[in-house]
Amino acid sequence: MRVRVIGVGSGFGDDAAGLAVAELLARGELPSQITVSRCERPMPDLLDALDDVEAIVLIDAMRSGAPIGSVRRLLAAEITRSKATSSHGFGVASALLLSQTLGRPAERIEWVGIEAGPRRPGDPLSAAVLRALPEAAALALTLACEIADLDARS
Amino acid sequence: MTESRTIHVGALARVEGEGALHLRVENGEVVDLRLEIYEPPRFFEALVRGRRASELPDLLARICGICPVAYQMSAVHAIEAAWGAPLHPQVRALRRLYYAGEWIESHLLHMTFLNAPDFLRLDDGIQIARLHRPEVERALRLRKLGNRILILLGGRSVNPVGVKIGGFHRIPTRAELTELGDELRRARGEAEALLHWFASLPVPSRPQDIELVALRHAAEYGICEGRIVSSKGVDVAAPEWDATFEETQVPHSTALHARLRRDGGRYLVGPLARVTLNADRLAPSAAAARGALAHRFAAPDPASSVFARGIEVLQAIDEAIAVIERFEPFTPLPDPAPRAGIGHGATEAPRGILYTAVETDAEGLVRNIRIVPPTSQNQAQIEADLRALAPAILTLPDDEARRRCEAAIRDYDPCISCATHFLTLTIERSNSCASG
Repeated sequence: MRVRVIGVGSGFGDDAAGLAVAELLARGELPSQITVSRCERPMPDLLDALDDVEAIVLIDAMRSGAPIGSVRRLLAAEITRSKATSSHGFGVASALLLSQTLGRPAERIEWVGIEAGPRRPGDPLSAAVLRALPEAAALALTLACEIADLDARS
Repeated sequence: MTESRTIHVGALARVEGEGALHLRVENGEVVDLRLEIYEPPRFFEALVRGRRASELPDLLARICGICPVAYQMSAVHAIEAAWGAPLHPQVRALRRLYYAGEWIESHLLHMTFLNAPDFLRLDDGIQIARLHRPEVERALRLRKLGNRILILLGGRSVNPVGVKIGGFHRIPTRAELTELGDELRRARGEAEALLHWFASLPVPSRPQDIELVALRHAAEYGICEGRIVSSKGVDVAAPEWDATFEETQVPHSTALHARLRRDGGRYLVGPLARVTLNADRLAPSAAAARGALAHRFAAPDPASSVFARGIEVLQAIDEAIAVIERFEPFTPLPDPAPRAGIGHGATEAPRGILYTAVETDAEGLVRNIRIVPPTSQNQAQIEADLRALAPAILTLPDDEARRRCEAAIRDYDPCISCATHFLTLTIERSNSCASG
């Protein structure tokens, strides 16, 4: 099964965590079934990223109340659609719903969350998130390999 | 006894950015109407002062995720004017191709996901996708083509980085352009079919007396160059912007309002203005589409903007094909040398004219920059439109009245995030580059 690992985020502080993990993964060698991409605009870029894959692993910054830099696998039921009504509120969950509505849902979707700190324009990634990047990358790769039926250690 | 009613939309839905509307009516008269733009200003004009002008294309692309090309193009034209830099004809052509990509992407997103739900009385783009899947798929296919153009010339579609003063960091190969041209030719029929679908929808009509303002070029559909003309006699070059228009601050908005200095009048920029003032410059397929919809353009009607966007998608496809067919590999000119000076650039963002004035020193550092985005220019017209709409919605239930107001605002495709500026001082501006 072809799997795309997608780092989601923006350039603002810890919201860039997903993008940083994608860059980390892209620097290494990956099995041919696994591709990595970045997504800064869920609508419409995430839709495009879903076009030709059967499964995805999404990595995104999260706010769950856990210590900053915590990494964990999320369940789809934990993801809620943004309540913002402007087009800027069209987030990852809305893009996935649109994809599903258009009849091209990924067969399997996995989520990796990295707890983010306060977001201020111009801030770099916080030290805690920076330290968490390898752990998040390893979890994303493990999930991708599991879906693709590969051994992550190979 | 005074009969009063207040309609408040706390957060406008399906617009680019965050805004609100406040409307108060007493005895059938509108006594207060405010399009409130409360997004905080981002001070781009201040933060780029002292930076190298060569950094502006990358920095200003960050202003907007939907129309970065417009910010890049107005800025590079202004800088090139300030430095007296010659422009290679192929670069000039490729800029039209690059802009075509942005128009295609921006127009299709607005038409399909922001505007179409209004005509079908649906809440959002998800419902449109559920009920009108072939049309949404078609729009997404076309949009992706616009995206491809942006990536080809900009390096990436979000915050593109391919533009430099005098040209592009990388010129596409003939093979890349040929492949793109083939796709564009196939897309023309799709764009016509999509516009045909929009024409079948119950799009409302609100013809009104509006001064339309757009770029007009001697031979082309105005995109990157041309004089700034209006339907009521304005005909000026970009350096005359300040002598022709003025920006003022209003208490309820972080976006400046623009008006004509001539009479303080409001005006409209954007696809409706362009398609009306440049009807004789449209490519054949776009001209034919406009002809079939001529009744929608008999008088300025903001509700017809959706058709103007659909016509401009066709125009952009034909522009792009024309550029690709005439492309010849070329050796770019050397990067232009900086000099002290002031330059002005006005180009057509998807939402209308975006004016930029840049002043640099002899080392090429930015001394001053002023950016006037289209949405701030359209604010006064949007408020006038809502005032005119008010009598027709007074008897409607609140939800329906709100829906009609929001739909009217969406006809303008306001990009609120782009429009937010803030002035704490009133500065007299002459025909020069002033702080903003």
